[in-house]
Amino acid sequence: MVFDSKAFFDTLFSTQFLMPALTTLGITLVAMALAILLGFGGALAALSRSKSLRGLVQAYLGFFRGVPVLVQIVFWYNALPVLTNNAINLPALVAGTLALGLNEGAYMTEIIRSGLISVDPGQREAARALGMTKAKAMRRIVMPQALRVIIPPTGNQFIAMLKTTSLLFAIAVPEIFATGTDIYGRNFKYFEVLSVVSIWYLVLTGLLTVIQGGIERRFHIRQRSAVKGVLAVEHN
Amino acid sequence: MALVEIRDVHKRFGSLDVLKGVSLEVEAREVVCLLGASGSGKTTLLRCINHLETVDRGEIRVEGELIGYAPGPDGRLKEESDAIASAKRAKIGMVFQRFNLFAHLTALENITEAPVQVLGVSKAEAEKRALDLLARVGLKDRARHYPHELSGGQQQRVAIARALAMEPRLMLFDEPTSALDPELVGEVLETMRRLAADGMTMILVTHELAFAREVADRVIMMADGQVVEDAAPAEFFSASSRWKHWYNRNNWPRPPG
Repeated sequence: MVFDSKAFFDTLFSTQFLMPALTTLGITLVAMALAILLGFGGALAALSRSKSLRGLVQAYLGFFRGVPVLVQIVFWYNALPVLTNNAINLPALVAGTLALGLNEGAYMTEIIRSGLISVDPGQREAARALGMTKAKAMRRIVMPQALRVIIPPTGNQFIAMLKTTSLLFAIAVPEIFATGTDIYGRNFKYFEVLSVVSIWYLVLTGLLTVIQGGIERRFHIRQRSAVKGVLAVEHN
Repeated sequence: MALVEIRDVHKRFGSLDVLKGVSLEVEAREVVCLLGASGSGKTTLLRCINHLETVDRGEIRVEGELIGYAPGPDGRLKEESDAIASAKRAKIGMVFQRFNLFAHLTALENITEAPVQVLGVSKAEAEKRALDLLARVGLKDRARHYPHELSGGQQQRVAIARALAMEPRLMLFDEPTSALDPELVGEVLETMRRLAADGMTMILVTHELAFAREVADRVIMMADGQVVEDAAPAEFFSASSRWKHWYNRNNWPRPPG
């Protein structure tokens, strides 16, 4: 095999990937924001006293975790217009982002739920005994402690989401991978172009990793004492 | 009028009758100790008083006010909204067996959190009062420590200060020394002793018989979801009293003295 270094560097330093990179990043942020919102709602519903709410969450998790995300993407883009007689015909970018966000919401529901149940029930009880309403006890006492458990896996999900956006090439969203397929479709430099595509993903995931580290430091997640604190509450 | 009036309170968990018609009055400035085997309903009764548990039948009033319930149009009691019940509960302090200090907040923040968030006290004012309270429980130098940096006894004293910061009209203690190492029990009892001397109305579930004998105005024994003894300590612990009968029946370890 001959590595065409000129093709590689031309592609690497061309501006063709700038917009696609922004598109990828934008889809990631919006889909994750949607997923986190759904996750909070889903987690609260899953832990609520209402049987029907819990059932609804179970159905949501079962469906979205059970169907491959690529199938969901194509469904939102191609099947929904057919199903609704073209009443709903979403642009590829919107359909794709929605599909990713809804799918990810199922995983975020589980992550946030596990964060909430990791907090000793005594914390909520003490807050209630001091006169806090349920909402205030959740916001001021339970959630800040749950976030320590929620944040690290959420960082992982962000990075996974960034990579999963590449599936949107199937519905021709102009993100990084789709742009790469366009280019190697024309010049057949598969290896060089895919190397550049990989570099773009590495740069973006690297960026997210740095941000994740910053957030975790802010929440003292890596501090030993914080971990000890949780244990001390458990065992005292 | 008694500060706390408990009338014919029933409570059932699933198929288990935990409280079977408990009636009880506690006067202002009175210290009442609740004794009884585990499962006798004493902790449930305590949690019903500040509406951490709902009541199935009967009613509980604090300063004449129903806690967590209001009469509906048909005269029957209905549960109040969360906001109203929470506001009433704020005036009743509670101390837990396992302290339950907020793990993500310092000792000082534990104490200022509810006054600021619930009562709307300014942060500066709340901190000033929190430092006074910490001094009162002998922990002024621990204000910036997190709960896990404090011993069990210190944590429980902070928890008492946290409850006092709401200026409660009544304090409930749920086995406040049961989770402590023996050598740390004394400091917490001392804090409670001083609180009683200051005239705080207190209802406490405890196994500290020496403390009950010394500090309580009344000792109440519960068994099977009912009050079976209710007497002044001198009478309760007298040779002719039946209290030892309950101890023998339940096979409890003999108290010291």
